[in-house]
Amino acid sequence: MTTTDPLQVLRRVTFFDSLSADEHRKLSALLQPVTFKAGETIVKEGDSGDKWYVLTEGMVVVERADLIGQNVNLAVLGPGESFGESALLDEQTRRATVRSLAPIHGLALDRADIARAEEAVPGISARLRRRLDLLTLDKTLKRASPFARLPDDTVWSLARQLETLNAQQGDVIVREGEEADCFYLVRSGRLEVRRGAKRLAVLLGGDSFGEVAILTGGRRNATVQALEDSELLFLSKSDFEATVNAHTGLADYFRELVGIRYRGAPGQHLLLPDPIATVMPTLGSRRRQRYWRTLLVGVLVFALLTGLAQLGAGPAAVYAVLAIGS
Amino acid sequence: MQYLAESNILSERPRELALTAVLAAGVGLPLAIGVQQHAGLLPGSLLPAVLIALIEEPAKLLGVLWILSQPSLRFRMDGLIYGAAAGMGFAAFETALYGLARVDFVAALLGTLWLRAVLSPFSHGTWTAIVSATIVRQRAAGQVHGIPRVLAAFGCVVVLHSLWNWRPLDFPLSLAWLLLVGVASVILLRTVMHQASLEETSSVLALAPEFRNPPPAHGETLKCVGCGRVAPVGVHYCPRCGLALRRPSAQ
Repeated sequence: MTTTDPLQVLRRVTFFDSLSADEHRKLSALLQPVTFKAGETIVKEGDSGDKWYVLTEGMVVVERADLIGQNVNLAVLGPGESFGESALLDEQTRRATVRSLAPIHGLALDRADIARAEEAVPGISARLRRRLDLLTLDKTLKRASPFARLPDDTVWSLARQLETLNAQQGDVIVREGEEADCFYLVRSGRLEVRRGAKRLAVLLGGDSFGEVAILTGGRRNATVQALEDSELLFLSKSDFEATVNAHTGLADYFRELVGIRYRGAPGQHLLLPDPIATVMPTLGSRRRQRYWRTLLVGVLVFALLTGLAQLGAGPAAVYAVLAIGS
Repeated sequence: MQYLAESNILSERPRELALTAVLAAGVGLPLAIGVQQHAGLLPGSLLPAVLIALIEEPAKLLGVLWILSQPSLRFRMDGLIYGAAAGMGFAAFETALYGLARVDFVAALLGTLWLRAVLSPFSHGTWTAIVSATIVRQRAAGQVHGIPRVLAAFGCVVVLHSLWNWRPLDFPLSLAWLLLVGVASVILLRTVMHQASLEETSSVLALAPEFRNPPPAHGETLKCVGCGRVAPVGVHYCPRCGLALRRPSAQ
């Protein structure tokens, strides 16, 4: 896509696929051409924004600091893709930084023209809103969730599957003993995890809950209650299981998390005592058998020496027993 | 103890290590000495040697019992390190008492201090580390079901301690005897430590795969808001409690 003709550009943007030729023409009249040099910061997180951009040539990277303060590459966008939707809607503060990776040619729609765009394409604001919501979810998953390391298309697919739950202070999200039907991810707010009357943890943005009952096939082993108004994302049990089963790294993560949260819960496998396996668990079974034999000989020698000592035997007898034992 | 702590991929709190050593020495040692004196036990022959081991090993564990109230200290490696701290604290104070008992005889005093200083890493610290590691590991798997394994480890350690206390041979062969038991103890410790290290690395990588990568140049040391412990630089989820890590200013 090297053309800078707004009409030609719009026809190739997936987001505008469903527009009629007339709507394409009216909308294109509102777009202004823009150019940026390679390495330039087009949009900066925290700055106020007033434009939405569509790329016609070049590539940009979208970055934002995650919870631990590291920059995360949220997306790399190319021709036909857009960024800065939030500036057209209710938010003026940029939520991410966008840098050009190559010389950029693009088109921009000014915030002041959104009313005219709505006249040209009725419902465009609502469509932008839906897209923005999905993009925001996608960014949340990439910067503050256990799903951050999944491939981009998987995260995007998850963003479409997740639903939002706004919990008010005091709301009980899951109750101990209930059947499990959903997995939850905390987007914002504070929630308390309780077993009986005992507080186990306080969950904040980026934390998750609900995986234990799903992955162990049991019931909820704790109650989770909102300590303040909180925003949660939830995924159905079947979607969660499918996602976890499809990604080994994610399965390892949740297996470990279940290990931490499920400690001491009933139904765990009862292992028979095996002192050799206890103190030398890395040994193979053949080597373990050999150590068992050695241990038994050692115990016999020890018992014999005890007996000799009680009988007042001298060093010669001790040496003899040790020699036989060895 | 320092070797164990430095071998750990997660950090420990020095103050807690010191507290563990002091607890084992301040609570466990007087208790053990009191019981031994009441029973009139002296090391040398086999039966008292076994009884002393049966008294001292649980006494040292008093220093690490507090770990059971800390779910975030969930790794066998934590048990090893805090157990070694308890054992070494116990041994240090016991050595001091032995020294004080021989304070009128300088040569005997020095000889005792030297011998115990050299041998103590092979004995008390090692044994308590092994039992403590098993306790922590089995607690993570479920407290009740782990008891047989804890008893098994305890049994192994009591046998080693008894053999250590027992004096079947005269000097200088008695030194070779101690060396033999000490080496057996250290081999056991190394085996447990190897497994502990593998387990811990696997757990940490499952929760925080970023740990595989070198820490970021401008990474910040963060403390988990859940368990209050410092996490390795660059990881996103606390390897100890699983909660999300965040800068204080993060939304």
